[in-house]
Amino acid sequence: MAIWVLFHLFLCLVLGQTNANLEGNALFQLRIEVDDPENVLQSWDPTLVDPCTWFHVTCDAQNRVTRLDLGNAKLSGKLVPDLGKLEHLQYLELYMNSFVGPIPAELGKLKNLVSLDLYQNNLTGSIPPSLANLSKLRILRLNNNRLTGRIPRELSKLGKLKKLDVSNNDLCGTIPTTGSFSKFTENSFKNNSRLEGPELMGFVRYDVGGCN
Amino acid sequence: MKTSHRAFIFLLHVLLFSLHPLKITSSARTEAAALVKWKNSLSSPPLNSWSLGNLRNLCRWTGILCKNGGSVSEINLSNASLSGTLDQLDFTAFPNLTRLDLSFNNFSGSIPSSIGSISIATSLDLSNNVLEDIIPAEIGNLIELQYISLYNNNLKGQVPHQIGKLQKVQHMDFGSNYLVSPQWYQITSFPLLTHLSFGYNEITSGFPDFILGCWNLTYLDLSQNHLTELIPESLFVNLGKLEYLNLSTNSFLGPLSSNLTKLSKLKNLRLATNKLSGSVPDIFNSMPNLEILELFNNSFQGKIPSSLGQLKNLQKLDLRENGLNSTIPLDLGLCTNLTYLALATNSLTESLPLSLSNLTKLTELGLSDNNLSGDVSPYFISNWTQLISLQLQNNLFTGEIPSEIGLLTDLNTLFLYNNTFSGSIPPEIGNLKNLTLMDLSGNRLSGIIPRTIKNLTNLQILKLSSNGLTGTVPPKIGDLTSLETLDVSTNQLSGQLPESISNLSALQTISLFSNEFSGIIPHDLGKNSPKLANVSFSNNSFTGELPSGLCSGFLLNQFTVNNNNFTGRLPGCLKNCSSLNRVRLEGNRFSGNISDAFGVHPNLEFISLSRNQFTGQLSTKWGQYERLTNLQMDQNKISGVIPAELGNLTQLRVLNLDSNELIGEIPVGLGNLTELLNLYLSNNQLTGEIPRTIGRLTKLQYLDLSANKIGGGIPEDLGNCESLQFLNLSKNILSGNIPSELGNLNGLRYLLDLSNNSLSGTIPPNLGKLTSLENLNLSNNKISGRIPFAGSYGYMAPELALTMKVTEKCDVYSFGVVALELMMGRHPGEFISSLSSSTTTAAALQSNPDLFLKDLLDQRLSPPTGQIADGVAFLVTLALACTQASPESRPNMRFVAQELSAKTQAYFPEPLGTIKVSKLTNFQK
Repeated sequence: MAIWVLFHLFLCLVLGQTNANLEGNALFQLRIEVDDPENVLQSWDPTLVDPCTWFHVTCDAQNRVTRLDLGNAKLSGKLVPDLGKLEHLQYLELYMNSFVGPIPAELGKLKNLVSLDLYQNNLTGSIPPSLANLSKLRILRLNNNRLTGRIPRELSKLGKLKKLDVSNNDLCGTIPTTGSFSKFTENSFKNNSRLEGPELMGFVRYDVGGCN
Repeated sequence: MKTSHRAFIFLLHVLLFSLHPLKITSSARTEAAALVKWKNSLSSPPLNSWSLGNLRNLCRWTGILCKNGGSVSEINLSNASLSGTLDQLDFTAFPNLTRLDLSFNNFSGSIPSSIGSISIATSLDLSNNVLEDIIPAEIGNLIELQYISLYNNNLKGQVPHQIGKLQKVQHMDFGSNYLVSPQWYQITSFPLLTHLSFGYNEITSGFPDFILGCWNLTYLDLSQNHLTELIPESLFVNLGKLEYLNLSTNSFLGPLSSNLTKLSKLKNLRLATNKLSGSVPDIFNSMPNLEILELFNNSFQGKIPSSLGQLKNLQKLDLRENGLNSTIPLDLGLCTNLTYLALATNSLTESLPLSLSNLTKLTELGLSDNNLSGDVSPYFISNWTQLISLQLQNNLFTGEIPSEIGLLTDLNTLFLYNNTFSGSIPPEIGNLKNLTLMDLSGNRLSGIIPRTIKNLTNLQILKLSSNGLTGTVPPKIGDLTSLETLDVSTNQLSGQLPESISNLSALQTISLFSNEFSGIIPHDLGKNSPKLANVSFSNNSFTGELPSGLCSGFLLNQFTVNNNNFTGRLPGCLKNCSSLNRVRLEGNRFSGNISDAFGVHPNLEFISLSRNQFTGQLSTKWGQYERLTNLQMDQNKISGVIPAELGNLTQLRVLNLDSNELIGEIPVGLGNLTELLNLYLSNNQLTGEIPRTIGRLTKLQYLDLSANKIGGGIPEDLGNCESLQFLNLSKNILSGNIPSELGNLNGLRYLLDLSNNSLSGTIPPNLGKLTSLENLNLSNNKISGRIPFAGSYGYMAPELALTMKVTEKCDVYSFGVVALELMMGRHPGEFISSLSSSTTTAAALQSNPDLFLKDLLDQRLSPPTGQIADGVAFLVTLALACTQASPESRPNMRFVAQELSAKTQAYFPEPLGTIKVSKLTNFQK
């Protein structure tokens, strides 16, 4: 019995490792969640002073995480909502991995995000409308996933958006045409078999079915 | 003298034998001889009475009992400090032996098969020795055995099926060996068996069926084996006398049968660490005797059954590490004899029921790692005064830590970390004189660290990090003479550290990072703390020099003092800390020569000296730190060359030597650092050429060689660095052409800067493939020729040729050209240029009003009629709209595509032959 008590205590000490950095904590949740066969996240030790010395993480002068460069890193698993806590993040580069599951709506909290690259993964679910809060976003690439549902109309208010790619998904509904969306070409939307054309201005109303 | 002594002893023997010839039977003599022979084979046995000279007292020899006839009936040598084997023990010499107990000794070797000779034995205990090999089949000859224990030896092989012959056995213990399964069907049940253990062996599936017929079992232990599948239902049905059942640490599957209720006499039920699933059946009202219930580390889900409240005798309840997702039932408060309650690591929700305050005998309470919320009422704490361990960490508890916590004077462990406790730490915490582990980190605690904490002289771990604590470190912190870990990082603590902190002689870890501390570090810190291994002062405003004795124990492992205002030299003892793993000194004002500041550090993984005023040179020693993954020394005054030995650091991910005074060439060997992600050498005085070997760095993401004196050409090998996102070669003296291979770096993202060099030739069109590039700078070179673009000349929009700015409207223009070409059967360049003199196509056509559509069309085909003619006219209309000279006037491409598929434009009433091209320019957007 004494052994079990000790064992329990040991477990608590190991599992309950506290750490003092909220951003490091948030990133560490990602490490816990994902499968990392090439050990690219090996340096992600939550007991360190801050996550700024972790490889693939970049901080500003105030030790706040501004970039996460994990493109083409052979990672799989789900994206964690905790990523939404990295409030100074500018670049979230998770492209060309095997991430599954939905895009966490919490990414809409990343007010400083300039680039969101989640292309070439196996993400499912719909594009969270909360991404419309990313007022500094210039690049949004969600192409080559298995995203479904409509393109949230709210995204058209992203005034700084220069590059949009949602091609090669399973999106449906019509393509918004107003605001920043007026400048994107068909290429941004291609290979979404259920995606209808843009709303026409004054001529034909296309059937917007196929989205239910 | 010697001879006479021997003769005397001989005479004495003769005398003794002749005096008692009748009392010593021949069998006793054989038994004595057998015992002495065995004794002589043992190493220094404390069996002085065992001697042939003492034959007369055989029945009084240590551990020997005789029957009436003077023949040995029992050998009891339990815990007699004996070592040796059983090989020399002649079991055949003891025809009347009924009991053999050799337990708790150090006997090794195997169990001799001759053990089968003691056939009238009723009790055999060889437990707690180091006997090895197999259990001999002859054990089956001992058919009178009622008690057999081979517990805790190193026996291996199959359990001999011959044990089935021991039909009188009541107690059978084969636990803690390495036994594997026999063909269980060869073993019949034991009608009298009450106690059976095969615990901690290598028994595999399937379940030993004979057990299910042992109706009289009260004790069954099959724990720590490899049994799988379901627990047989007949176990619950047949073994109704069981009081103790332990099936823990196997791989039993499936839900727990409600037939468990049939084991109504159970006192002790242990099913932990299996793969049991489903809900815990709510049947405990029929098991009133239960004292210990362990179901931890399974996959149970759903509710904690409220019938547990019926278990008035329950002392220990362990349900941790399951998927239970209910609230804690009110009824649990009825189990007033509970001393141990573990519900940790489930998904329990809501607040603690007030009834739990009835559990006044609790010594250990583990509720950690759930989603429990609400306050921890003073009412609980004042009733749980027996607590030794209170673990509430990793939940959602709120409110203040009640001051009643001071009543828990037996408390040894207090873990409240990662909740949302607020308010200040009650000063009463100083009453917990027995506290050894306290972790309150990751809450919202405010106020000061109570001064009473100095009373906790048994405290080994004190963690208060990630709260909102203010004030200073208590002046008498030095009284905590047992303290090994002090972690107050990430608070708003301020002021100077108290001198007494240097008295913490057991200190191993001191973590003060991310506070508002200032002033100097006490001069003696480390001097009296020879075990100090982890030191972090990072992100404060400390000034002055680091104490020279900080690493006087030479055990420093993690040493992070970055982002302070430290000055002066590094402590000399650093050089002797051979287990140094992580060093962060960046962002201070350290000075001094680093050429010789470091020693042999085979475990060094991370070092940053950046942003200081270090001088000296990079020693070749740096090449020996083979585990180094990060080497940063940027923004210092380091001079000399980059040692070629750095090429040995094959684990290196980051190498940053920016902004120093380095000279010489970039070592070719850096091409061996194939794990490298970042290579920064900018703002030095480096000369020579870029080594072609850099092209081997296929994982490299950032390469900055800017602001040096690097000459020669850009090696085309650089095009192999396929992971590059950032490439800066600016402000050097590079010459020659830009290699077109750079266009293969399609991951280039943040920057491609080749400016301020002497590059010549043309810009390779291949660079047009860098579609993700955000910043491109080729300025201040000798580059000539045309700026490349993606497209073909004859189809290029006029503004593109002028501005080189590719827009969607350029594509629309090109589409219009192709569409016209299709209709006209020839390139429409001449036709379009005839229009280009005017600002709009419409204006141009109005100046040439007589051009008929039919003349514009491909003359090799007969003129279209009917619907086709309408279509042709419509297409030309669209194409003309697309080739408008002004980009703003052109429709966008999606619109064009929609129009083509929907064809919503007005129908032409005129026959084709009479339509003038000028009529086709009134296209409405």
